[in-house]
Amino acid sequence: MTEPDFDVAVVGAGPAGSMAAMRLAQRNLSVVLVERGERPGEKNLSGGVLYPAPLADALPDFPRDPTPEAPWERRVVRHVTSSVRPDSVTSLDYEDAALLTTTGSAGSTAALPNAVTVLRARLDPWLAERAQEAGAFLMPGMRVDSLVTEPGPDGAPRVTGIRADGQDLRARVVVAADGVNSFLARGAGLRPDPAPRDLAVGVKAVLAMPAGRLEDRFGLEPGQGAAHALVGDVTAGVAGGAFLYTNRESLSFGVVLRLDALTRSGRSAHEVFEHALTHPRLRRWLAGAEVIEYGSHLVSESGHTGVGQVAFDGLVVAGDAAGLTINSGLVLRGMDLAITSGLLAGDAVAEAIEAGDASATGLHRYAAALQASTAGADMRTYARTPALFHRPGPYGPWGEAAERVLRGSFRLDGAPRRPLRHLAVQAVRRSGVGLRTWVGDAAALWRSV
Amino acid sequence: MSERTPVNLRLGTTRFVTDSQSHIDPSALRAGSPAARAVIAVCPAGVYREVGDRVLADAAACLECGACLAVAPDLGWHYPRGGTGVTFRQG
Repeated sequence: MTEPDFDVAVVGAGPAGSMAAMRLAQRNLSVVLVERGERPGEKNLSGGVLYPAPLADALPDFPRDPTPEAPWERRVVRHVTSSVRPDSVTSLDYEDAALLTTTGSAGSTAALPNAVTVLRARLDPWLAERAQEAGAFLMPGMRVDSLVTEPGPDGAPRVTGIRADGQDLRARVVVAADGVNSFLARGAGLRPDPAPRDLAVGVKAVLAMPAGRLEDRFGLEPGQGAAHALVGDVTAGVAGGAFLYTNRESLSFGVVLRLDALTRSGRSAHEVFEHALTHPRLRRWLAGAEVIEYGSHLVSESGHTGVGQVAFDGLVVAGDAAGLTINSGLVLRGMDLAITSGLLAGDAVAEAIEAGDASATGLHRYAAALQASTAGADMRTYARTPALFHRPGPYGPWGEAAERVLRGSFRLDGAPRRPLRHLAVQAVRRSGVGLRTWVGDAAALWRSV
Repeated sequence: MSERTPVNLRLGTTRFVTDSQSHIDPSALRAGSPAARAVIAVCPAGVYREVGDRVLADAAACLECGACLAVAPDLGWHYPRGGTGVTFRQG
């Protein structure tokens, strides 16, 4: 083998790639961080809530306050999960001063917010700068077309570099942090293509709103933020949901639609987005807000079962490319898992190179570290939630039943009151789905949460 | 497709740098086929449309999410060349 151009080539300057590149450069390895946008973040889009504890553990200078330089928007102190029907909204509204801070594991995380809202055009360049400060060489505006492989001793392909613009760039190890589509690992036949039911398309708009109006509308103190998750008629019943997050002077609003359900629905993604954006029950938050950007991004919905193999001969896979997302039903995570996996990948790849073994065996320490981490434990804890969300209950029948029970309780129409238990039984009977489905929903809910 | 549909108005807020080479080749799709209906349904940018028995793609409006490829593996689709395509200023 010819001498490599770099010890490590990291593909993708998102949270996973930048954190991997930073750790590798801190270990005095030569690292190239290749990004297809002209500037990191240009190609990236997320709903927008980051749980920053793992990032602040790795970077103690992570800003605790929303100063102009801080790469985040608002501290999330209020989480609202709502079932939206054409005429009603039923919500779990959780606000807690304890969310202003989290203790984290390093002890140095005083006043670190539990969760912050982010816009990727600000977060991702900040992360990539940390990698550059550590000594990684950022190569922006370059699309990597494929992995360069050679047949290994056992016939399986061994990754020896990357190919971009017809040029080969050789590296001892490649870190594929190339996002949810992960063309690199799939193109080399190393990871399977996910099924449409394991993917959802996120369609998002950023809407401008002055800070004062935003705080009034969402019931917030200055600088504080809210995260709303909505399900039901907001997506016209298509499996998935909607989100509404507060930034400094804008809102992030979008829908997430499972590809199999969307294809069956007879509607298009932009029709469902339009339906959500103009939904009468959401007008109190969105009215008069002007769209300043429209975008989309795929989301992996398979949870733990979608992760699979993450270490190969000369290659590790991190972040969205490794399917690292969690939807617990209440909490949606991805960026914090990407950050953890990038940090662990950086450490493990450095150790493998120092030990002179960049084979799948040598790089297995990354897979082991990921499994042993809190991120790995959380992936396993919520391994069964995707099965719950494959059931139709969350997208219609549950919200309809809740509406019947609450309407029967609150709406005094002159008729004698019926006890809550009767209202509940009647709501289940009239729901249009059989008792067996309700029992199945209850069992899936119990197993998954 | 009218120029004034809601999706077109919203796409007007997003910045694009058009690649001189199209990164989408829909020639393997037939109009009316399940794959053609699926790519039209899942694309948030309304990139795909049917003309006669063909499927055409307006690659310049592509948001690069990859939803189309996930539902139609026969589609020719990859990211546009480095430095071109969608440029999110918010994300």
